[in-house]
Amino acid sequence: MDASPAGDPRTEEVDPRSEEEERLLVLASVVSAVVTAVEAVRQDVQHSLGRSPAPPPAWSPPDVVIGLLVGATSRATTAGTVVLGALRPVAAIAVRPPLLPERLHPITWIQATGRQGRAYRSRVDPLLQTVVPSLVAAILDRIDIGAIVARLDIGAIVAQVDIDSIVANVDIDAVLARIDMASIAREVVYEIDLPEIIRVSTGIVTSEAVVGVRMQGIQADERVNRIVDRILARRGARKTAAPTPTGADNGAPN
Amino acid sequence: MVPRTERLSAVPTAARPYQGQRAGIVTRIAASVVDVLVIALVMCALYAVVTGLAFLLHPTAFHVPSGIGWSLPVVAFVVAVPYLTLSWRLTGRTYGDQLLGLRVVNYEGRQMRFVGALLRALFCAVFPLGLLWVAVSPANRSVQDVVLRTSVVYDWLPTAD
Repeated sequence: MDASPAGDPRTEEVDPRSEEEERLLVLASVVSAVVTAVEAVRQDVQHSLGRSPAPPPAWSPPDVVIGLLVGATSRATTAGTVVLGALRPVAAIAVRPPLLPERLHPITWIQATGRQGRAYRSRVDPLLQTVVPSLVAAILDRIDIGAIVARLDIGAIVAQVDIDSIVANVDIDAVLARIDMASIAREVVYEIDLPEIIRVSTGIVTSEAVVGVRMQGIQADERVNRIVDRILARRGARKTAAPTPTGADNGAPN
Repeated sequence: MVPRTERLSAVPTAARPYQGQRAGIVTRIAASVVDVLVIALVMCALYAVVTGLAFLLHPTAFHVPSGIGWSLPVVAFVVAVPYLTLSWRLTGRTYGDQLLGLRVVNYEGRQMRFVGALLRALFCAVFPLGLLWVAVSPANRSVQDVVLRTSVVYDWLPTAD
């Protein structure tokens, strides 16, 4: 594509145009390859599902755009190659004939054409911004994401993920600090009726009536003790703490 | 070691401070009444068995036993001493103690040994009025407790520590 002689500053006006053409050609090739690949995948999926592949449509908006891009690019490339190839031997003299005034120099015409092309390119960029999104949308409409995902080995992908390093970066303490553990524990104890479980597991058969009788007995003991102590004019509380196997005092009030 | 009453337990909060303390006179008399009832039931069963056997052995000569008054104290003694001895030796509590949440322990605070339990059972059977000393004692001890260095404590937990 680069038809300009090395070190010739007068032909530099052509280079941006050539790069733009090359870029358009590459873009067209990529779009074409993508559309072709999508069509192949679609037919493959249809075939795997046991359906006879539907005939491809005669034309579609992306095809038209691609055709225009490729046609324009190839024509421009051909013209550029022919013109520059013919001009190359006599470029130095032909573009600037010494006998003609400067306004009649071919280089003047070439520069004017370059400016015109640059102006045209500035108009094409917005066009591409309009065409490319619709083109991508059309491609995505044709892709069966489910079939692609079905081809993926999710297990192998997950196996590459280092869960430990992710967990190591998580601040567990901060997470726990946001949880009201005390209220959760209270709710759990309330729901499971812990005292009932203890009573059953330890074999205590203490109904509410028995507990009541025992508590009333203790209270009656206390009352009688106070009465007797008052009659006997006894000072100080009774020392009712019984010896324990460990010698520990249970810390009872009496 | 965590004190027994401070562990997770089924003992109501109001009763926990009294666990391990010597019991007062009312609770102990109530327990003794229950034990007397138990002994009376056993005696009734014994008399029923004896009467039934007499009827089966000599049906023709059977008559309702009379003049058994003299045998009551003896039978009661014979029933009460093994009952009390085995209860205090094996579980530390009679049925009345179980109902009222009491336990009999020795001078170490441990479950009584057989000889101690037998001596205490004999003492209680011979001199039950010694129980009344609990009301006067500054340490809630009966005469038997003072002599044999035993204690009757509130203990609502099912097993000894």
